[in-house]
Amino acid sequence: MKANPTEHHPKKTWPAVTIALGLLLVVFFISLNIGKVQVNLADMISLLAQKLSGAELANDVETLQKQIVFFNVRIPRSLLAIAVGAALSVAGAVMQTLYRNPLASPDVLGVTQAANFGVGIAIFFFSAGTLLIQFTSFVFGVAALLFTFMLVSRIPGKSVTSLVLIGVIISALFQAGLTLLLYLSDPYSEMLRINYWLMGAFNTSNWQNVAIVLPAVIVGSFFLCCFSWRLNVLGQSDEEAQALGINLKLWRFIYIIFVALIVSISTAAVGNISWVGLIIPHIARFFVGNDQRRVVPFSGILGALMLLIIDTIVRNIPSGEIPISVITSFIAAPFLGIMIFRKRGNW
Amino acid sequence: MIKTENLSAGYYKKAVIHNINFTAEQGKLIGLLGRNGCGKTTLFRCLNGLIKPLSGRVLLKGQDITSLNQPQIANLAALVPQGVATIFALDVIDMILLGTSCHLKAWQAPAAAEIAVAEDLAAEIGISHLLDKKFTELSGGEQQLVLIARALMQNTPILFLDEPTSHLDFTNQHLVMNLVRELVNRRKLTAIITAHDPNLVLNYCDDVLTIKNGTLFAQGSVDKILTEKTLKTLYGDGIALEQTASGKFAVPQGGR
Repeated sequence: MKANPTEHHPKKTWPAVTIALGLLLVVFFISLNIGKVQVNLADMISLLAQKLSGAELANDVETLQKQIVFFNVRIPRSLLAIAVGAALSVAGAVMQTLYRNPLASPDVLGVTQAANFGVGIAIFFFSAGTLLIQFTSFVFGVAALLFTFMLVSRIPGKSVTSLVLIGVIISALFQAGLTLLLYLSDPYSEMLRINYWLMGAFNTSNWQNVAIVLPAVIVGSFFLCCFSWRLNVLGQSDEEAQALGINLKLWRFIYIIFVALIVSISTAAVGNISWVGLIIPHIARFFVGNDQRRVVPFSGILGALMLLIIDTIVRNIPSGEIPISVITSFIAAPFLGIMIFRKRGNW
Repeated sequence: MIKTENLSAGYYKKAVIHNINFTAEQGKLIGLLGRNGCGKTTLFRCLNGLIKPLSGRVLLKGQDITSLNQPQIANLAALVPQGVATIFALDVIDMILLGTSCHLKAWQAPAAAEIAVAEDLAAEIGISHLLDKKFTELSGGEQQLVLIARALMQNTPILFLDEPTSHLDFTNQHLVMNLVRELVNRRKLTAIITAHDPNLVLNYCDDVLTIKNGTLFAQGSVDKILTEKTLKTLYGDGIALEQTASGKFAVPQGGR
């Protein structure tokens, strides 16, 4: 018996993807344009043309200012916002499916808390500069992940619940460590620095950061997108996934390694950015359905768009820049509440 | 097609089933009966490769299951679970396509050829009209049909069905069992089905395996093995076997 081909109508996702990508391009352009120093389209073209022709720095102050702001501040900052937004959202989408939990986010691994502890160590013990803070943060993030796997591999069964519980334990330990460091630190210098770093901000963005974060996010997200269909299988129960031919231990390890890579590098570069990894995958599912082949890449595009918009707003607030997590939380928390009511528990 | 040799299996090195020996031939639908806690699920999980034997062997199509990896097992045997508690519900077509994962490489996703097979399978089972619906929007009976389609998508000679009718109403129980019976006949599958209701085994299965206290109590053709005596040994004295014009039925004694 042949199926009636008209009975199955595959979902079209390209309109949503095209619109999101178009918006991202527009917002990227706007983010380069607005700020205390206006760099309009004509300025951008002439600055880029000068750069490509290998011209020296400009002599007049106004053009020089625009050159510095455009190339050394705005482009790296916007690229970093795009990369971090994409990384956190892709990671969130993967974690929610892997943990079969709509409230999962990259934080459940304990990587974020460990990376935060690394920031505390770098500032408390070494009064470190940006690069050392980022390095220590990354090292602790990866160490937490390896520790998680070491513990999980010793638990019989190796269920998702074990992973969640180990993540909770790791998070609690590093959170306690960070609280201790804050308690012991000087409230007028170290404590302020640690707290400010942890609030998350893009105001320390530079090309050095971009050179580290962007390639890592591209590589990690590329592999997560390549393996995204298989995530649908891991989203089923353990027994079903195994019966469908999935080596659970191997595949969980593969996904989590890439998630940890992009999350720890992002957290190390810009500090904590709350809620993005939790909320963006839900918005993506609203537009493209639950097939991970669509959810993972679309989350990346939406996350990049959201963080770029918020960062552009944050740095243009006249009273001075406020931590980005304040805005992400103010937007995302009510949004999640609305979604819970609308979805009535069905994701 | 399926063979066990002195199979013992359990958890944390403690055996729950002991010295199980049986052979399941191609084209047979075999019922697995026993009371709660008798070791039915443990045997079932062991046959599936979900847990390793403590001793003895499970052979699927002549191959020792311990020498096979998960994708290789999934190419030989497919599982139809009791039900699915999914968080992010897939569309029915995507749910069926999950059955292709054991045939695809790590980075591959189902393409047009696999989608065409899934559409054919849906037509064969009579669920073409559900393909674009979300799995969680379906009734229990429809969900079970989708899970059967997903298992068939694996294209295996062996099918394991884990109490596939346990959450279904009377009509859907027989809809699912009729379909399973038809598929076994048409595709010459070897299928093992666990069931709580002996009547499903009496009505639809060729052979039966009965488990009591972790050992194989009796095995063979349903007509020979499922006697009133066997049922009373398995389920206690409160059960009787009645012969009617349309066949044998297990009925509880007492009540009204």
